[in-house]
Amino acid sequence: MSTVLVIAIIGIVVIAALGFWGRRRPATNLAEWTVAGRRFGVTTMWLLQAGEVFTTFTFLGTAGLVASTGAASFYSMPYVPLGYVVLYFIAPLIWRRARARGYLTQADFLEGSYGSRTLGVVVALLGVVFLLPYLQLQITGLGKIVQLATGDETSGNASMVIAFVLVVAFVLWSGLHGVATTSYFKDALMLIVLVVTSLAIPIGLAGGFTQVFHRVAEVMPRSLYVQTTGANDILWYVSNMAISAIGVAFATLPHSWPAMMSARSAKVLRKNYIWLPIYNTFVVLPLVVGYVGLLVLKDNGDPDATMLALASKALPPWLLGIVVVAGIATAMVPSAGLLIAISSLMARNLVRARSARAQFGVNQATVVVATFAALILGLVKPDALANLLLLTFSGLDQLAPAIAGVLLFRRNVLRAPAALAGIAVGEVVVIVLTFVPVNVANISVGLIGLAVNLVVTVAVEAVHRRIAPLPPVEVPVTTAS
Amino acid sequence: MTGRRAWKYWALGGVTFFLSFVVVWLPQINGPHLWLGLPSILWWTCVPGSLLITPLLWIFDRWQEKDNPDPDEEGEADA
Repeated sequence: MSTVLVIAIIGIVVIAALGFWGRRRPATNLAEWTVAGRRFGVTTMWLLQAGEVFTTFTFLGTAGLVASTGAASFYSMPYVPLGYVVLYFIAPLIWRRARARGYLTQADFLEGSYGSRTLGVVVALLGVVFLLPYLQLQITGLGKIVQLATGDETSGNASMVIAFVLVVAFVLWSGLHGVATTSYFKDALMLIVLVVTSLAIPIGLAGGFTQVFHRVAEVMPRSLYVQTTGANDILWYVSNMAISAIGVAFATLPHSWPAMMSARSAKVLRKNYIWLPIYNTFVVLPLVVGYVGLLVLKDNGDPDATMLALASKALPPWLLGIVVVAGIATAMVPSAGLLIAISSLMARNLVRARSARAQFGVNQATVVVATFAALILGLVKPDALANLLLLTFSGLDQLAPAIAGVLLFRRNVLRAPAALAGIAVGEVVVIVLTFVPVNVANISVGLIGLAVNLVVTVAVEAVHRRIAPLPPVEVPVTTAS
Repeated sequence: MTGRRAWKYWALGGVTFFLSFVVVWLPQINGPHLWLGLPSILWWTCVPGSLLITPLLWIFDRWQEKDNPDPDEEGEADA
């Protein structure tokens, strides 16, 4: 067994142990398990929400994005902080309403705010369908990290199984508390690894940090700026940054809600959004590593392998093992957060068990079933959900007008039929433009879907007001809490 | 953000969004140039789009405490 694999397995066990450490006794009700009784302060909240920023995409994908798109990849840095500018104002509103009415999920919030069970079901269904491939991406990402570092597919598959059996166990035991304690470890390790790799790789393989860009300027100057033509041009850059920022700003990803609702006060959320952008700026480090990949790795067939291919050239095996553990943490910790979102949507908004106990049972069963479904697909047919993954972000962004309709105005300006019509048309546009070759001038299909979604939402609401000019009524969620 | 004092939030917040989305269209900034050893567009992405957000929100927070003092705050520390 190689040094890297031994360290990787030790890392998996340590992360799981920290997950169990999150609670002395297992959680026994959904509110305690999902939002930790709404008691988290600034430090824990910061780590929980920072944990959502650094996933396997950041670890493997960011450096790879430079290799495949050049400077257009820079869009991946500012969209999260730009989204925080809006979240600074609306997250406290979400938190207050959620606490007052006992909401635990994004679908609870929209169902209660619009007084529509249908809307709650549709939002929950979209959440589960679009988050499952994202969960599978984290699982296959973990296997890929170990496989790339050890050069052995069996080790990669074994690591996937060990890691995700342990993730299921600690998530069932600790819920959001487990995500919080593992986030402490993950974020500390990520920062160390990002700094070490972004110094060691440019210095060891390209002569220094700024030397990288001087060499790129000589041999491939077009990689230093966003092109005005081609597949990844300025329109691609701007529209992807816009749709991604809108997704963060209006919390369209359901797995961002449990963390948001676990804060002990609205002030904690506001303080958190002030300081999170500093952490997000560290995304610049894998971007620099991506440029080293452009110089050093000729004919790079797999852009996602860039970070680990360079790390294995520049670092000794024991340090490569630490890098692999950081990568594993970026898969295990966000996966735990995804499982909490998927299972609570299923239990609260889809199955709707009558008693609180039955609801918690459905929730725990969903954690097991969702993980094993994603794990088996990851092992047997890793590309099975690839098409669905293409829709995850653009598809969930279609919830933005419905969320904004509740939060941006002093009273509800939209009613459920308008919100539902907008979501339905937006999803259809996104699906068609993703899978049918149509020239959209490199503009993000999510943004196009959102524009059509907005027009339809406003039109349906206008027609509805002519027929029934009643003010929207808010009805609390009726399921057990 | 609505109300009489909203303009100052829109004005200051708008600068960040303007810089993030507009500078990429300027060839003086989005070109094969290096500034202090890094691509110039990287600086313009990193600074207004990420690093400046913290001081911006810090200013917003000071204004919020003055304009809309929150009556039901419960503190910031972990329980």
